[in-house]
Amino acid sequence: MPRRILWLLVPALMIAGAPAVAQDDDDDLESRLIQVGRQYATAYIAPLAHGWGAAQNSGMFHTAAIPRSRLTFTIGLKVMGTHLAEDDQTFRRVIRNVDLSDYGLDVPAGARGDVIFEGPTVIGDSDVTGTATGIDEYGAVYTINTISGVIDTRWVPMVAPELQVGGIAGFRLALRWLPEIDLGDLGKTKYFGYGLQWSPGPMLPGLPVDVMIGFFKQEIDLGTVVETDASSIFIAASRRFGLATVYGGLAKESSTMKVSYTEEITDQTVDFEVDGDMGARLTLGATLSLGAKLNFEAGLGKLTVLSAGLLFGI
Amino acid sequence: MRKTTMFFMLALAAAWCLGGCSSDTTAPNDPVPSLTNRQVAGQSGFFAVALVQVAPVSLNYTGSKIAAEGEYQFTFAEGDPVQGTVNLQFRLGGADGDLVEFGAADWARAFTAAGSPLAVTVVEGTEPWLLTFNLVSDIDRTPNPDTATVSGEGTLVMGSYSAAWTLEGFVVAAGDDTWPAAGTLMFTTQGKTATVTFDGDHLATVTIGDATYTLNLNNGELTEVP
Repeated sequence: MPRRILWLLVPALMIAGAPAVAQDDDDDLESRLIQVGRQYATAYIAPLAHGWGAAQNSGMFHTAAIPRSRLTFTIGLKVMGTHLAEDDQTFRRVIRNVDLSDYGLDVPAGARGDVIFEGPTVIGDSDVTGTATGIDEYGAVYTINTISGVIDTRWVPMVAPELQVGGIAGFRLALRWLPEIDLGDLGKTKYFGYGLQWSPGPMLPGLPVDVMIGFFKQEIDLGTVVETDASSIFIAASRRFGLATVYGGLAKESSTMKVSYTEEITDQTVDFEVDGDMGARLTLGATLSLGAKLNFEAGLGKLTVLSAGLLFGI
Repeated sequence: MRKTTMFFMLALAAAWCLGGCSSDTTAPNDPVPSLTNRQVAGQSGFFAVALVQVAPVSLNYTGSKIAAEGEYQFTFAEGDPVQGTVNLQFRLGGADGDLVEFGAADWARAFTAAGSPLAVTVVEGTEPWLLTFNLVSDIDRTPNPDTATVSGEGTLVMGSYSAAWTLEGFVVAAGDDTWPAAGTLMFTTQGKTATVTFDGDHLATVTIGDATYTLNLNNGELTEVP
C-alpha cells in the first residue's frame, strides 16, 4: 500500500503500517506541507480536515435499544468514509495587496500585488503540481510551482475499533482506542474516543420506537504533524423488524484539525487549525443481526458520510 | 425472514440513495483577481515587446531544418529562455500557392502546433508563459530590405491569467535594427482589451478605456499620457 494512502487511512495505519511513516519519503503529507506556508497549507488540507472530522463523528450507534438490566458487551470494527465534492480536489486562494517577495517570488524589491495559490488539494491529482502566482500593479506575472496532491480520491476513509458495554439503567458506554505507536522523529500516534448513551426504555411507554440520547468525544494524534478532535451529541430512534433494525438520528457535532510543521525554506514553525464544516447531521441506517451485527448507515449534512460496522458480542 | 430481508434491503437502498447526495465544497475557490486597466496595458506592453522580436521570423529565418519542401520547423536550443518549436510554411503565389524554399516565398505562415505552445521564461526561476500563435505574412521582396505585413492571432497564458490577441497590418522589415512601420495589436484578457498601435519607431501607443500610454519597445516601459 503506498504510504500516501496511509496518511489518509489513519487510524487504520496505526495498526498496520505506521512505522513506515517515519521514513523519509516524498510521497507523504508532511514532505509536501513543509514546502509551503500557512496560507497555502490551510487551503490545501481543508478537504482532509473537513472530511476526517465528519468521518470521526460517524458510526456512533447502530440501535437505540439499550437494556435496563441486562449487561451487554460488544466489540467490533467501524469503517467510515466521507464522500467529498469533486471541486474539493482543487482549490484557489487569493491574498490581496501584499509584498510579493514574502511569498517566495523572485520579484523586484518592494513589489506589491496579489498572490494566487491554486492547484490540487491533498486529495487532488498527485501528478499535477500547484502554483503560486504573483501579479504586480503593472501586470507583471510571476509563477512558481508548489506541491502536488497526496492521493487522487474523493473519499476520506477511516477505520475505528470500538468496544461497547451497556445494559445498566439504560446506559451504554462506547470506547474507541488504539495503542500508541512511536513514529520516531514524527512523534507518536494516539487514538482515543469515548461516548455515553442512554435510553429511557419503559420510562416512555407507548412509543412505537426505541429512543436514546448520547455523546461521543474523540482525539487522534498523528505524530507531531496532525491532531484532530471531534465531538458529537445525538438523539436517535430505532425499531426492530425481525432480524433487522432500522434506525435514524439527529446529531450536533464539531471537529477540529490542528496542523503543525516546520517550513523548509524559512525554518519557522507553522501552526494552524481548521474547524470541520459538518455541524449537524441526519443519520439513517439499518442493522442486521445474524449472530454478529452488520450495520450500514448514511450520515447526511453539509457532507455525506457512509459507514459500516461489524460487531460481535452478547 | 422475508419481511426482515425486505426491510433491511429497503433501508440499505434508502441509505445508499441518500448517501449519493453530494457534499458541499470545503476547499476555497476564490475568483482570480480582476485586472486593472493599468495591469492589462502592462501585459499588452510586455507582449508587444516580444512580438516585435518574433513577428519578422518569416523574413529572418535562415532555414537550417527542413521537414519537407516549403515546410520548416525551428526548435529553440536547450537552455534558451524560449522553449518549443515554431512551424513555418513558405509559399509562392499567396496562401494558395506552391510550397517553396523560404528565400523565394511571397507568403509565409508561422505557427505553433496544437497542444504545443512555446514556453517563454520571462524571469529566471519562475514558470514560463505559454504562447500560441498563427501568423500569416505577405512578403514583399521589392524594397531593400524585404518587408512583410503580418496578421494573425494567438493566446498567452501567464500563471493564473490567460489572454487572447490578434494582430493586424503589422509591417516589419528584415534585419534586427528596424521597428514595426505600422500595425495594431489587440490584447484581450478578463474582458478588457488593450490596443497597441505601432508607427515606425521604438515608441508605440497603448490605449485601454479612457487611458493612453506610451510604450517603449526597448524595455516594455509604459508612460501614461496625461
